[in-house]
Parts: sequence; structure tokens; C-alpha cells
Amino acid sequence: MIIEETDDVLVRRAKVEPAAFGILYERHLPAIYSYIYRRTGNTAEAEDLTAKTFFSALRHIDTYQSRGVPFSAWLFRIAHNLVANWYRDNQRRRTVVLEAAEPLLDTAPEEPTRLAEQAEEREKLMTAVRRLSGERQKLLVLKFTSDLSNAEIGAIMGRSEGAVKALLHRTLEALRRILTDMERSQPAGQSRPAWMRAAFRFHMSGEQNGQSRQGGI
Amino acid sequence: MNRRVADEILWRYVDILHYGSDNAERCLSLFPKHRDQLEPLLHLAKRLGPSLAPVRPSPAFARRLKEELLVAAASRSRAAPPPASHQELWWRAAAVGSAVSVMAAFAVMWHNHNHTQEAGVGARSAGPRSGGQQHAA
Repeated sequence: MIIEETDDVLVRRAKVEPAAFGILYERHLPAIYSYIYRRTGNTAEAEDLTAKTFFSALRHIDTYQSRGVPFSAWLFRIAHNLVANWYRDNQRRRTVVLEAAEPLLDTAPEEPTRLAEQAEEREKLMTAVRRLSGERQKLLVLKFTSDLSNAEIGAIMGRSEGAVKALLHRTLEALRRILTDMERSQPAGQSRPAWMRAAFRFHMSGEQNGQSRQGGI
Repeated sequence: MNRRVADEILWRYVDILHYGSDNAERCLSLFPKHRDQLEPLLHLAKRLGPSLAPVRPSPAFARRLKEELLVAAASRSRAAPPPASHQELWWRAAAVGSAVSVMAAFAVMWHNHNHTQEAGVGARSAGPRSGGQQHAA
């Protein structure tokens, strides 16, 4: 039976053994990348910030001490700070809109109308999510995207488990209000943005030319 | 409804969604009086799931970044010995402290031993003289 080393053991080894850092990297890459991607909505930025997160972790691994805070929480804090700086420095929230539609082109072939509706729904939700405070966005992404335990989410957020649960409740309530306001303010007949209509036309032209979308475009 | 109960229901419902199942109706049937309050939030959580689903990095990116990190980690470990952690520093300090204590104890014992020997020699050399004086007296 293979017993996986804990993060704390690997961190101690990683201070002298590059290979141990490689194991930590493989273990935490999916969650960190997913978190950053969901916060930025952009593959290039997600890759850049993920790389910065792990290089920063490598540079400062000697200063990491567990003290009850999991290594994952430490990594997420680095990632969160980088994302916060990215938002502050660039004010590029709008770029999130474009790549939020990527699954439209990646999913298995289904009815184009249904795909477009799914993409529209996703876009509407993500627009609403981005109107939440950074702290609330962070909680939603951590809760929905990662496999972190309640204690780990609490450690990353710097709150007790009870406080984090209460924050999720308030966040869902706030999101519901935002969505209601968006639906009220949206003029009828303009629910689908131009990029989505263009993607839909592109999809339809592919169908007409006999192209298969099985492998993605 | 107790707000904490609602917090807990929503939290657990999202956990269940994460594992691919949906028990919104069961949750609501357990709290029928609060259906109006909970139902829209459970529904919203369910809608959010696909939009916030985990995204995996491309294998090429993951591989390239790992290679770069391993190169950086190797050059870092060659460049400088790793600094000791706090725990290691404590152990080292404790070891030095113990060694100093043992050496001090030996030094005291050695000093006492020498002092006793000197006192013994002094007593032996002084003994007959005083005895002689007494005899003389």
C-alpha cells in the first residue's frame, strides 16, 4: 500500500529536494488554476498568475510554517493576493465575459439553441457574480470550484466555519437580488450579446459545411 | 427560521451538488414552512454549479510550468543551504544548552575533586606538625 506523504512532510522535504516541490505542485495545481481561472475568466491570465503563485511559493517556502494553517490555504492566499493585484492594476473585469463563453465551443454537439441558452445563462450568472465583493466572489469560487474542507475554506478566508457558512448564505441572497435587478433593467429582445450571436452563427455555418464539432474547434 | 439552520442547509446543499447529486426537494420537504425562503436560494446554488465548475489547466502548460519550477528549485537548493526551521533551531539550542550544562557539571566536579585533594594534602602535611607541637607542648 502506498501512503501519500502529507503536505507538511513534503514542505519540509521541498526545502532541500526539488522533487518534493514537484509533488506539491502536482497536488495543488488543479485547484489553484481553477480558482484563478474562475476569478479572471481568461486562460492566458490564469496561466500567468498560476505560474506566479507557484514561483512565489517556491521562493518563500522556507518561511512557511504550518501552525494549523494548511499548505493549500497558504497557496490560495498567495493566489488571492495576485488576483487582487491583477484586478487593482488592470481593471480588466470585462475580459472575463469573453472566455466565460468557451464551453459553448468545447461541449459535445447538442442542439445549437440549447447551447446558446446555456452560454447565455452562464454569462448572466457570471456577470452577476462579478458584481459581488471580492470576498464573496472568492468564497463562491472556493466553495463551488475546489474540494477544500470547511476548515481549509475557513483558514483561507480568515474566518470561522460558522462565519463562512453565514457569508455563503448572505452571498446567495445578494446574488439573487443582483439577478433580479439585472432582469428588471434588461430591455426585452436584447438578452443575447453580440459575441454570442456571432458564436451561434459560426456554429451554424460549421454544421452547414458538414464540419464535426466533436474534437472542438 | 433560525438563520444558522438556513446557513447550514445551504452549505450542505452545495456540498451535495459538488458530488453530482441534487436533494433540493428533500431539503425543502424537511423544512416545509421555510420553502419560500430556501427554495430560490437552493435553486440559485444549483444554477451556479455549472458556471463555477472546476477547470483543468492544459497538460502542456502544466508540464512546462513543472519543468520550470523544478529547474528553479534545483538552482535554489544548490545556491544556498536551506535555513533551519524554528523547530530545528530550538532543538539545536537545546542540544548546545545540554552540552554546556554537562560540561559545567564536569567542571564543578573536577574543581571540587581538586579542591578536596588539595585540602587532603594540606591536612596530611599539617597534621603531624600540629601533633608534634602538641607533643612538644
